[in-house]
Formats: sequence, C-alpha cells, structure tokens
Amino acid sequence: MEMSAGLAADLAWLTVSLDDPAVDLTDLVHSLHEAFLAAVPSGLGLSVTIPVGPADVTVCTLDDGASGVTTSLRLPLGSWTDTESGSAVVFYAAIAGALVDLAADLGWLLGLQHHVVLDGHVRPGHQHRLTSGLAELSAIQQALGVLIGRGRTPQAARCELEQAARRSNTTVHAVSDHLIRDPAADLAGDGRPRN
Amino acid sequence: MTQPPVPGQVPAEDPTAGVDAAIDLQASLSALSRLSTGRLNLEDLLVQVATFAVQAIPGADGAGLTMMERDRADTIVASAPFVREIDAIQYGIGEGPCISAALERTTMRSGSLGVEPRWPRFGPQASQLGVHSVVSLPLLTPDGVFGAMNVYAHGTDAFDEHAAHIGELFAVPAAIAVQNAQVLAQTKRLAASLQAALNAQAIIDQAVGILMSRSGCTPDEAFDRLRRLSQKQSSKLAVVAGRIVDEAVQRARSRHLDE
Repeated sequence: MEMSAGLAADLAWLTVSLDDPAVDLTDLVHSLHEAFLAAVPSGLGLSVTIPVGPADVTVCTLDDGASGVTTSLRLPLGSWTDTESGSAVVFYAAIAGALVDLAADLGWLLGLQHHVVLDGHVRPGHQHRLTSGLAELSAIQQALGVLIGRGRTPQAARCELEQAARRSNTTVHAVSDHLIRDPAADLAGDGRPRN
Repeated sequence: MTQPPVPGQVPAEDPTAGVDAAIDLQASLSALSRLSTGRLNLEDLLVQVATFAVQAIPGADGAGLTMMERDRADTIVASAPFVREIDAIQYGIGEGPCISAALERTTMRSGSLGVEPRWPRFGPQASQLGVHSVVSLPLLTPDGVFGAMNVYAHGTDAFDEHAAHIGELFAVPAAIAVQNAQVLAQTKRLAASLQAALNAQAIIDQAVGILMSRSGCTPDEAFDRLRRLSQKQSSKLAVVAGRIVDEAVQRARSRHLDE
C-alpha cells in the first residue's frame, strides 16, 4: 500500500500519543489494508471512524482510488471491539458484488447480519483523504483544557462551548479554534467569541 | 504435487470408507461455516480450522496451520502437540512439505518421510518422532498463497490420493475462513489501538489547554513543556497529561463546591 505522507504523519503523531512501544498505528493500518486486499482482490481501501466527543475521527486508506468505488461494506465496531458506540469500519471495492460474500461471512461470524450495510457508502466524499476529524478533536479538547484551567468542571466547560456555539450560530470547533488562538478570550453572553 | 501411492502399501479397501469420509468432510465443512470469531481470537479460530481438517481428512492424526504475514512472525497453530514439534523442525531448518507446498502452490504428499528424497533433512527427523505421512495443502487466494495447512499421520502411507483430494476440497473454504478471520482480527487490533490513541490524544490536548490558560503560551509551546515534563518524570506523555488534568479538575470541583 502506498501510504500518503499526510496519513503517515497523522498516524505517527497518534502513535506518539499512545506511547506504547508495542503498537505502531501505521503498521496496523497497513496490515488491515493488506488482509482486506488478500480477501477481496478488487478491494480499494477502507476507513475506520471513531467518535471522540463531538468529533468523528476517520482514518482512511482509500486515497486516489475513491473515484473507482462501486461497492462498499459498513460494519459497526462498537459491539465486538474496544471502541466507542458509533464506531465503524467501511470497506471499499471496485467491482460490483465483490463484497457480497465478505458481508455475509463477517455478518455471520460476528452475529451482526442485520447491522451490515452493503453499498450504502459508495461515495466516500471529501473525508476519504488521509485522516479527518483529528484537527477538530485537538482544538475542542484544548479549548476544554483552557476552560478547565480557568476553573470550570469538564461538564461545565463542555456546556460553555456548546452554548457559545449555539448563540453565535457556529460550531463547537469554530468556538474552540477562537479560544485556543486567544486563551484569554471571553466567550461573551451574546455567543460571539471575542476578547 | 500429489504422489502416487506405493504399490502394496495402499490403505486397505473398506466399502464404507468412502461414505464415512464424505460424512466427515460434510460435517467439517459445515462446522467451518459456523465458525464464530465473536469470542475467539485469531489463534483459537485457526486451531479450530486445524481440528476440523483432522476430522475431514481420512487417516489424519493431527494438523497445523501456518500463516505468512508480511513483516510479522508467522502464526503457527496445531491441533495436537506433536504437530507443533514437527512443524518447529520444518521451520527451524527451512525445509519440508509445508514450505514446498507454499513455494510451489500445490499439494505435497508423502507416505514415507524417513526416506523422502524431497526433504532429506526434515524427513528423517519427523520419522524419528514417529510421524511417517504428510499432506501439505497451500492456502490460496486469487493473488497467491498466504499460508499452508499440514496434515500428519503416524502410520506409513496413511494418505492416498482420495485423502489428498478431500484435503484440497477442505482447503478452499478453510482459506476463505482464515482470510475473513484475519480481516476481523486486524480490524479489531487497529480499532482498539486507534481508540486508545485518540483517548490519550484527548487527554494530552486538554493538558495543553490547561497549560495555555495558565501561561498564555501557544499550543506548540504548551506541548513542548508537557514533553519535557514527561521526560523529566520518566512517565508517558498521556500519564503526565492525565495528572495535570486531574489536578485541574479537582481544583475546579472544590471551587465549585465552595461557591
């Protein structure tokens, strides 16, 4: 698998955060990609999405093959892996029908026959490139940290960000971005981030 | 390549043998299709596949599976301890029916390992351990070979052409089951590690935010400070970050209670 520099850099960064010498996320992504291609020769790649707070982080190996996707298979991860509910893996392939057998087998193996979605994600969209959601996750968590540092409890900090986003008709990520650019900024009563 | 049986050493004819073998194969294939990885890890599942192979292939006393994974040690499982011992010899000296089956992508069969010219070092050692017959079957994908299944018997000439053929029939769904199990096992490993990394990243980012609010520094400066603390305390980054977050949260909660 030809891994893009951006994906490799993000995985390397997350591997540093994990700080476990036995785990290299780049290797794990590579191994899964190879195992999938061995099982489905017309396979193009896969994506794994994990929700962390309000941000969904996606790691995807599809890259330039996205335009050739004609079939997809989505499998929820929450019930059989150590991940948050709402996590999922999506496999992509180039030949229509190529994932039918894998869908049946994996659904049976995991007892998830009614939760497997075939061909529901054949247009991966802009998120197929590299990782997505990591920058949002970092900004939101850092903003929570800024508010906790000011004496808010985590729950109160989360509420403050959400209320500011609602009042200013923007996203929690946009409010967080503003706050970490100016950690002394006040999330004013009218909801608009300002000093 | 399937070897012809040695004259005079063909297994005795039994009128019910064909029917029994068909029943065994059917039962094993059926069991293979009901394999569930929900509560098994990859190694447990491979052991089950090896066990079903022993049930399916007439004359088999034990079976083992070898996976060839890129950049990783081979996963080797066995249905019985003697199989592990024999396979260890094979992989230790780099010669034997499994290696030949994987390299040549075809079935290997021998009924007299002690005098087998194809494996002059492996054969006699296996024979000394009382194992004289073998059928090795490559586990194939459309793109190549990803592993092999070794089926052993203590007696000489235990596997005839029919047994090898049954082995080949069994190896097709076994290869699919093993491949699917590998996809699941790799997905499980990646998902769990990614979740753990994201959790650690979230704590690190919160600690960065706390340091920023205290000193007005940039996220990069706060992260450098955190990294220096981690090195100084010889603790993981996420552990140091967790302490900073815990202390700040405790202070916030006590302040909240005081108000």
